[in-house]
Amino acid sequence: MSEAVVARPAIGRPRRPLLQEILKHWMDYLFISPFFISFAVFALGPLGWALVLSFSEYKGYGAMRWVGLENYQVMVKDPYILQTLGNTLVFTYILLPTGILIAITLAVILNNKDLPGRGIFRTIYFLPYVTNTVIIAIVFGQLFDDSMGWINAGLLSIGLPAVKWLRGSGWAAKFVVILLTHWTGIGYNILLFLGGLQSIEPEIYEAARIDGANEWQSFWRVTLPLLRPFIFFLTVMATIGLLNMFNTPYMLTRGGPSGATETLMLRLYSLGVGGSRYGDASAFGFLIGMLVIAISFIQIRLQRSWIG
Amino acid sequence: MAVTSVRRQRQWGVLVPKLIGRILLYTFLILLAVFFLFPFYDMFIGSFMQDSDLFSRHPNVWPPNGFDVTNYTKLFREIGFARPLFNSFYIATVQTLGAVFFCSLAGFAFAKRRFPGRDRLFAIMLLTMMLPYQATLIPYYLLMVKIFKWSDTYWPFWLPAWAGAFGIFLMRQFISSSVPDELLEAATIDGCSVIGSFFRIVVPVVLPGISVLAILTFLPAFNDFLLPLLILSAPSKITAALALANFKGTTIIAPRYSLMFAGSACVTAPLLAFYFAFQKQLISGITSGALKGGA
Repeated sequence: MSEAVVARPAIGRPRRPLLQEILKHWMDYLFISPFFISFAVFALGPLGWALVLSFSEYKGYGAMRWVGLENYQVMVKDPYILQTLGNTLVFTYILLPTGILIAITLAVILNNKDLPGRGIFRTIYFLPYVTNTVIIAIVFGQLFDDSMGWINAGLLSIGLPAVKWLRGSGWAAKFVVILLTHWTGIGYNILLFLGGLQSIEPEIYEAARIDGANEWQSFWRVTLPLLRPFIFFLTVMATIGLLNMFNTPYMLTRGGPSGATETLMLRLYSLGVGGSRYGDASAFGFLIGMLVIAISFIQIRLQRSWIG
Repeated sequence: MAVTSVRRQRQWGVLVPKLIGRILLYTFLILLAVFFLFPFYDMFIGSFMQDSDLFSRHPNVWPPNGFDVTNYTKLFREIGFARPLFNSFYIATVQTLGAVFFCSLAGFAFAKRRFPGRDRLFAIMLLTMMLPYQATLIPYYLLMVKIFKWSDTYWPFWLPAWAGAFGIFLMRQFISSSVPDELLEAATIDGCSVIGSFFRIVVPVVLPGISVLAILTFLPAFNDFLLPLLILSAPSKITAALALANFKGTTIIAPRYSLMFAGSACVTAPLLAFYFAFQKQLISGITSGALKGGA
């Protein structure tokens, strides 16, 4: 990636006027133009409009009315904003570390060459990744049904009380959302780390073994440091994905019970599409967007210093 | 004699803990496999049950009335589920074809062509991936529905997705690492045009990369939920996932779980077939994406 950013010096080529050079390469510009056109129309356009909207009152019809910072003030004071922000952060920072930990453990196990059937396990663990979150939420909704689900039947059969998973306590519902998200996503993380493990040269382990390192030590001293770029990549991508969490809580609980699983995106959706409060929703969208950028930026900084 | 028995004891001392370790490891791996597979099993048998059997005091491990296909006939005859199922395939297929075409062309230009500003434009394109998508969700919705009047059409799914930054980045990486410059130079000397060398040299060589991009586009497009929820509402236009979500009902309409389960099975079956057919490309796509992003 770095070689792309550094411009290549034109060696032994006579410099022609820039315009002439550009016209000569019109076809190359044509090839890359679809991205820039669609980006301008479908991303920059809406972004600029969102900025204007966030300072206006607009109900989806009639004229827009300039209200200054009022929307932002309303959203900051919104009683739900802290709860949804808290929920989103809880989901993100429980799912992220546990997801990495579980996936590295399983990847190391499945990377063992003398473990018959490891390919089958890999296939099975990755299976949920291709399925549709809407469907998974439907099935989990039945498994974790408050009165007649599989999980409660299991609990009752071993003498434990049934739990109102989805409409009882907030933490039970959060737990189901977290479990479901792991169920879908962990296979992807395992594959990623398996790729990372396979990129490590066997000679390095050989050298560590000759130096007297046991398996545990070579995991901490060789495997983990060499997996850092993969952990970094996963953290950056997964943080953005998790802060945008929508499908799972929408299908499973609609954000309930009493807002315990309502994420930022769910709130944005119900404000903008459900409530037609486009001005407020745009301001809220900007606040979330800035938050995601800030969190990503801080994480990248922290991890850069960790990778060294 | 003495020497061999000591050796044998040592072997047992190594073998028994190893065997126990193996048994524990396999137990763990199998339990985990059950955790991942059980919801699929539950969906499959559930699709043959009525609501009362789906939610009974003692969950049914096996459909009590046998493999009764009432749910499926109801789903296709009364609800017309074939239509949303087809729509999902249609949206995802057209999105994939467009993405493969436009991303390969742009990736080719960024990887192999030399033109002023190329690297700077590529860097700008990468930066746009950091843009907060949350901030544009509502105005994007308004733009599509209120200004372009594209509700219940598929343009909002296709036009912005055809030339995505990620796809172009992926194709650039594939093309620059697998198409030798000499081959392109030789083609130019032989009088092959830019378009000609793209179709005759680049495309055949990066076909594996193209299949990776196709799969990584098709799956999320097929499974997308938020955008269909925003854009589509007409029964003839909705996607399968949206149709299933609608079975969940509202505060006044009761959920129809048996139909949801049968519909879920209908959507999942082709996805699983797809997975087993393209497992290799899918896995290599994910690992290569990570290798290129991570390293």
